[in-house]
Amino acid sequence: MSRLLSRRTHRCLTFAIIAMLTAFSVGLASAPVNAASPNGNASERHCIAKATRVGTPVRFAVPVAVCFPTFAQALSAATAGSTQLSAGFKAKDLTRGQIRPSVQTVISIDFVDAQWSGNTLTWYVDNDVGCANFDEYWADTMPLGWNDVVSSAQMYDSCNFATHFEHTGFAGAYIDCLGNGCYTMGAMNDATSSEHWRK
Amino acid sequence: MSLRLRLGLAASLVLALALAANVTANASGLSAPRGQERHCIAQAFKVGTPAPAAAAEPRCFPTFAKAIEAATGGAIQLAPNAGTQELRTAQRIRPSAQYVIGIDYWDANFTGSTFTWWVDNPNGCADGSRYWNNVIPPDWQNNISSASTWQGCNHFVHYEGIYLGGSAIDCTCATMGVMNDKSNSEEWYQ
Repeated sequence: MSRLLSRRTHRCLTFAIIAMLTAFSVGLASAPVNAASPNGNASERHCIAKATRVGTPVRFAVPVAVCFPTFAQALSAATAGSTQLSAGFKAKDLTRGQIRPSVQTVISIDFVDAQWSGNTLTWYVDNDVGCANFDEYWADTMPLGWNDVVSSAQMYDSCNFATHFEHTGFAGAYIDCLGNGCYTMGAMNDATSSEHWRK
Repeated sequence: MSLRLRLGLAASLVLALALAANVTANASGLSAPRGQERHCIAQAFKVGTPAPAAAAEPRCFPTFAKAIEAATGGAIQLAPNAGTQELRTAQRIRPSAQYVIGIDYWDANFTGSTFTWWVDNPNGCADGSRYWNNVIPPDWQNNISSASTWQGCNHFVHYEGIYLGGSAIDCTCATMGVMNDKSNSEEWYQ
């Protein structure tokens, strides 16, 4: 009997730990993304994710977002530590010239709010070329917590086009964010489910 | 207030809202039951030629068949109740310089009133020609819910903004997702 109870207790504990870990990881990835963040306060979340080069066989992998409390920390991670910004630096103020060369290249930043504000998702690629050699990149789906939340976007490196699609797999309506990016996204506001970058 | 009275008031409110919506939708005569629809046509402009100052002036007809007859310069004659499916298999019965490149539909799934766009090029988009409407005619702005493409135009892009700006969707589209009732300019290409 005591052995049975012990087994049950063990099972319950295991289940509780798994449930807590799941809730914690989901919370990290999704809940903070929509949190209000008008003044760079503690509710801000700034995430990074790796875009997949077109032609590699892992097209359908769901990108994993790693999140930080400040944009400066996120950009440092996205550039493998090469770019260090002040703690209160705003993502909307980032210029191409401020990003230092690295083995990882930042290609764009998505914002939860319009006018390049709110929580951010910085996309990077694991090479120092970006789109310069006409390499193209895509994200077949958005990272957990980032589906249907993007309201503005900026582009970096040589990726002049960042197309945001309504559905996963580059389907449905879309908006081409060109040059400096999309200050607002019109009908595509809060509708992005996949992305494609090119020169 | 008794339950019966409350139900009566609720039903009256629903009926009034439905009537109001119907009056609004029918104000232009475009969203109407089958048989009361309007079917309009206009010429699309070839990219590279001087664009006109104003939006294309549409001509409208009571049936899809009449609209297609006018859009093709009389080359295609459909039965009075014919729709898009019949157009797919229709034969041109006499020479004409006008060819259909796209049809917009007021409702989803290629239904409701239509707007047929034609060009004066027998190759349509197949020779690399591109066409556009920098401004959709006023009655049809923000009112398109599906679209079909023709004459070698593999891309029929509907844009949210005028002059091909903003969000977009590339058709043929039975539905238009977030671009439903959002089109304000269009472009065709191979």
